[in-house]
Amino acid sequence: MNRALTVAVLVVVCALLGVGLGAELLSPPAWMLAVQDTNDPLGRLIWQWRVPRVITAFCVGASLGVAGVVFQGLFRNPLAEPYLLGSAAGASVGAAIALLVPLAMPAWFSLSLLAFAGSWGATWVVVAMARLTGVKSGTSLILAGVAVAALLSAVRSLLMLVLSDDTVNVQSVISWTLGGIQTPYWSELAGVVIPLTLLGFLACLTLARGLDFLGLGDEVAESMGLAVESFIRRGVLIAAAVTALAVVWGGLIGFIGLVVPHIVRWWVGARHGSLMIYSALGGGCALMVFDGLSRSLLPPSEIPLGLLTVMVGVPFFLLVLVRESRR
Amino acid sequence: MSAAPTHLMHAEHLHLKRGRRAVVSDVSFTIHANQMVGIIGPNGSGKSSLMRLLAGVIAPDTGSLHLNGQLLSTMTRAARAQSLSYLPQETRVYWDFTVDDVLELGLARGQPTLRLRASQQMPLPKALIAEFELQELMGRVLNQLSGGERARVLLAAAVAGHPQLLLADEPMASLDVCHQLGLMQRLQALRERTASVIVMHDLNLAARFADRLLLLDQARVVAFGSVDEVLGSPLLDRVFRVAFERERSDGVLKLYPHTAT
Repeated sequence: MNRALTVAVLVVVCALLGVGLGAELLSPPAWMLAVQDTNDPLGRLIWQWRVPRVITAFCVGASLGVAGVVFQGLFRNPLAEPYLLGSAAGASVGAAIALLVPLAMPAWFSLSLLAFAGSWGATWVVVAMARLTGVKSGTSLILAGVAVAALLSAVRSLLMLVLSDDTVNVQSVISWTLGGIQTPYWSELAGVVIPLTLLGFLACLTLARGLDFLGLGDEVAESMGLAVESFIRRGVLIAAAVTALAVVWGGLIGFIGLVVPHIVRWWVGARHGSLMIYSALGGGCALMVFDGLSRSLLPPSEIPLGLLTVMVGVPFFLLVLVRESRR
Repeated sequence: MSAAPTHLMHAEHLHLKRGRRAVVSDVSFTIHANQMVGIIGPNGSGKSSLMRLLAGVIAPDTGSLHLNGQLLSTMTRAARAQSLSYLPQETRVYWDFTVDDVLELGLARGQPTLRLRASQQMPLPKALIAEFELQELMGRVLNQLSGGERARVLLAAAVAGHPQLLLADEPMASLDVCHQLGLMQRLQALRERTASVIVMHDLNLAARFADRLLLLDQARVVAFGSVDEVLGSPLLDRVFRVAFERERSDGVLKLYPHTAT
């Protein structure tokens, strides 16, 4: 109970910080007052732009945290996460195609669909490459992931060069690939972002017990009643979908899926059910604050969110690498 | 042809090939309830492959396996997992699961999907903790325990759900003499509710604890019978390519390997 209370307080504090951080720092009393006055332009600004963005940041962070937990559990590799596995890069290629090529579909639908296809395809390419090398060690998976991610980012840049015309703002696509939370309308938020995030989270939660079993090794998991091969296929599908959701609304944001589950694991232990719940909340909290910082550190410009998370994430990644090599 | 219900496990003409090499060749035997069956044989004789087959982790190329008269391949995964428990040669645990986690997962055998309604944490049965003397270890991380403690926890987890049959592949490997003996005594005490098939390297431990022995050589069953029949037979010397000197004290056969032949 204590743990749940701590996290609840953390979520509230981070949400307040997220709303308050910007080119101008707003204290909670100041903006709460402004929001209550329907004629106050600042209040309208906060209500129509800031609050939806903070909620979206939470959803993106939660999705990245949970996707990290699922990928780590499936591959039993503490370094696996959407960004390093190439899943996020795959999603970004899909999304870039959706943005640059006119398709006979609603924009949010084609964007989500192609991002998912890209994320799923890229993850399997990486898994296949890692299996091809025959090395069971975790490093081959991450090496393959980084290589595929590099290739995909080149493909994405090429697509942007070739396909862009006056109707597409390339600048906005570029800034999105560097990571940046989109601001949806309230209708999109309530109709797409929040429901899909919840759905993805619940789908991941159904994997929790199976991931626990997998942690005891393939053969033991199989003998305990888990159909290992099909479970991994299902897990990759779900994690790729969750990653795609995060990429569509937040661009490429690295290391949240790595750092958050690690810290949570130290705190709540290794069981995947609680790991997912707390990683979702923790990832959401982290991105609300980082997104706020990206708006407020260098006013009036915004630092791309992805750059901030990479700067924090890489030292942590190295720390994990050193710890793992000492095992 | 189905097996009579008194047979706990019944294997008929099991064959398994890896590439062109047969790793299990025409293996047939029957295991009854309340028995501890030891599998012995030289390295590479197919012991571990046979264990994987029995556990249902891999399927035989041909042949049939019955559990309680039911064909293993037609059982649901859940039903199979609840009646059959398998401890491979080395259980690598990837995360820092605590002893409590491992026991809870052991109790969840056969239920790989978390149901939200059933996710309410059940307290671990006190009898299980007491039976395996785990009081001191609760809350500790499995991967930080000593080899003997770890083996005890993994065994407790494997039999937590009261499976009918435990398949353990060299559970004594990397344990010192004292812990080997302790583990065998536990397995023997378990026999009343859980029969077991244990791959053993130490023939003297096999002589002392097993009810029946199955001797494998080059993927085939060379002998299957009582301890005296199998260990007393000159076949043993031929299979292990060692001349054994046999001696009987307190009714237990003792073997001393001599010159390699």
